[in-house]
Amino acid sequence: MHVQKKSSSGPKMQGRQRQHIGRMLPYELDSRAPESFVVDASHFSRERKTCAAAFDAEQDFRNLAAKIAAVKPPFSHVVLISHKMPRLADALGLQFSDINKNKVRVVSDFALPWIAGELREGEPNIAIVDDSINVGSTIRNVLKRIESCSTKDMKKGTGENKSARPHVFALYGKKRSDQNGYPFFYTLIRDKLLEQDEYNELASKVALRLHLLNKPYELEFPLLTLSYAPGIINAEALFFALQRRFGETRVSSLSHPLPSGTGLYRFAITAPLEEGLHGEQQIRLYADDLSRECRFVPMWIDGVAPGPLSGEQGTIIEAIAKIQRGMEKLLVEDSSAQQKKYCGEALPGEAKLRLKMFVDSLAFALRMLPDFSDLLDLPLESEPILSEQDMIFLFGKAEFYKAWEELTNTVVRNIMRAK
Amino acid sequence: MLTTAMEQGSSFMRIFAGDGEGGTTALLGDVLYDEIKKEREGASPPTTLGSIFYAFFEKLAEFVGADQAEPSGAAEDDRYLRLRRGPTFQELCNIMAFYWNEFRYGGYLEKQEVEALVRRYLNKAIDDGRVVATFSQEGKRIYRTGESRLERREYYASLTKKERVHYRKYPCAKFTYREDVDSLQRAIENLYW
Repeated sequence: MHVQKKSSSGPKMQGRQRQHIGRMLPYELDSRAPESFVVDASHFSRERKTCAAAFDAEQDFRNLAAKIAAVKPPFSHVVLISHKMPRLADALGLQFSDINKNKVRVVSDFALPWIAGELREGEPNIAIVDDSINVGSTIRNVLKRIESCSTKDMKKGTGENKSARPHVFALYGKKRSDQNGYPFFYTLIRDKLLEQDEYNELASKVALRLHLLNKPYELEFPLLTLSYAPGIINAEALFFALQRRFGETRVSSLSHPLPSGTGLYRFAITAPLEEGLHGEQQIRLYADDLSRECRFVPMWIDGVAPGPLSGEQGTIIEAIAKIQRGMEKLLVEDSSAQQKKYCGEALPGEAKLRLKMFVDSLAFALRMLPDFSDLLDLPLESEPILSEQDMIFLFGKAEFYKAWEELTNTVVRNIMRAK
Repeated sequence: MLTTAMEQGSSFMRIFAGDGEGGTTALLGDVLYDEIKKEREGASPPTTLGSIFYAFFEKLAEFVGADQAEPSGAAEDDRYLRLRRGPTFQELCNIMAFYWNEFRYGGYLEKQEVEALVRRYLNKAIDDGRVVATFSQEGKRIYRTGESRLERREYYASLTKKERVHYRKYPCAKFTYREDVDSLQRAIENLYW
């Protein structure tokens, strides 16, 4: 391992055994400051660079972003096709605009229903980005959705009225000027259709590269950034502490295939559920031994909302519901749709379903956090807890992020300080 | 075949197990059953729940026509909607439990044990891009086949404790692919470090 010898092994190094009292750990946590354990930062960095270098498509993706940033006039919106592209943009730090000029709004296609109002009212100039376009059904679907949000008729967006045409960017694809009646500009890094095996290989490389981001592949869940508590010397100690806390059958490691030399780890903790409930509720932890950061990702997937919160439950639940209702009011319904479709989504009400899953997961996190309060710590007062980037990808608007962050920040800090 | 073993009703389960009204042939469940049976007869290495899990998602992609540009056969819908066909978590657990217990791979698994294994495989498969979580046409959270084909996906889970220690010490070391989970105890043990 890559810390000093005393901190290098599992549970036996975490302190003396003591009587189990209530929720406390059945052993004493090491009270020494984390600084006393010297982490071999250069080794972690070297391993991470090696893993990152294995991703040979990185330069292609950077070229793609540079092409988008170079377009004049600049795009008002860049829509990244979920889940790969938003995560990859995050992992590689892709910039889609000249930072000294107009700021482009970079969202995922999940965010389209939430920004339908501004697409309708404004003069959107939209770039759609995917890694590869083979069959084209995903792009066709996104184009339809953008058209249903916009007052402009993209099918008539020819001749002088070119501003209504979205611009599709991809690494691979075959040059086409027309996608089932939707004219759009097309920019490819390589004018080539990928064979299925080649596409699978590209997708595998992207997935492997995303392990270094240390976030879930999925975008739809709240991501809270916490840190190791002082007594937790490394991710391994955290893992064994979690197993003792929740039981071995509820805690598993998902770290493979990431080499342990990177100091990045993933754990899943299955939540004990109340009687009558079943499902896949869990907490995911994405731990980083180098920064001592631990991302806390609650996942509440069942349609049944989690049970009531303890403590100030009424206030918190009401605050969550208020933001949820406020957001739902902004959804613009398709006038032609018989069922409630928002921004031409393929299946009706997906935006609301995603919001519900997000809200339930957040409520679930607030309920579970007391069980982690001696294992994880708060970030600095000035640091946000909820990930802004993920929220913007998911819901599009900074206002939504601010509302959720304000609530989460207050509640999470109160919970963690009450330990 | 599977109608008595599983609940039906979702559009996915109609693909998998049929609607019970007859006339539908080559159901996903039957194809998978035959494949596993064939593999089991000449089993080397023995089948694990993990290999059933990944075989299931490979067959699912073929069945719904995920890679087909044009609708045909069972994949009659628009491709974007075809990608919204897959099992919910509970359906997937039922399917895995059915195959595991039908062929008695290394012992009987209780429902909770199957759920624990399936949850672990799902977690891994989603983070590796091999399985994608989405919503079905009924608005349920479901799982479909992803594009990634990350290799060595299972072997770590099947390592012995000694091998796992060795792997963590020498992360770049290559191991022989192992799938010899031969008992319930071993299968459960393999969930953890």
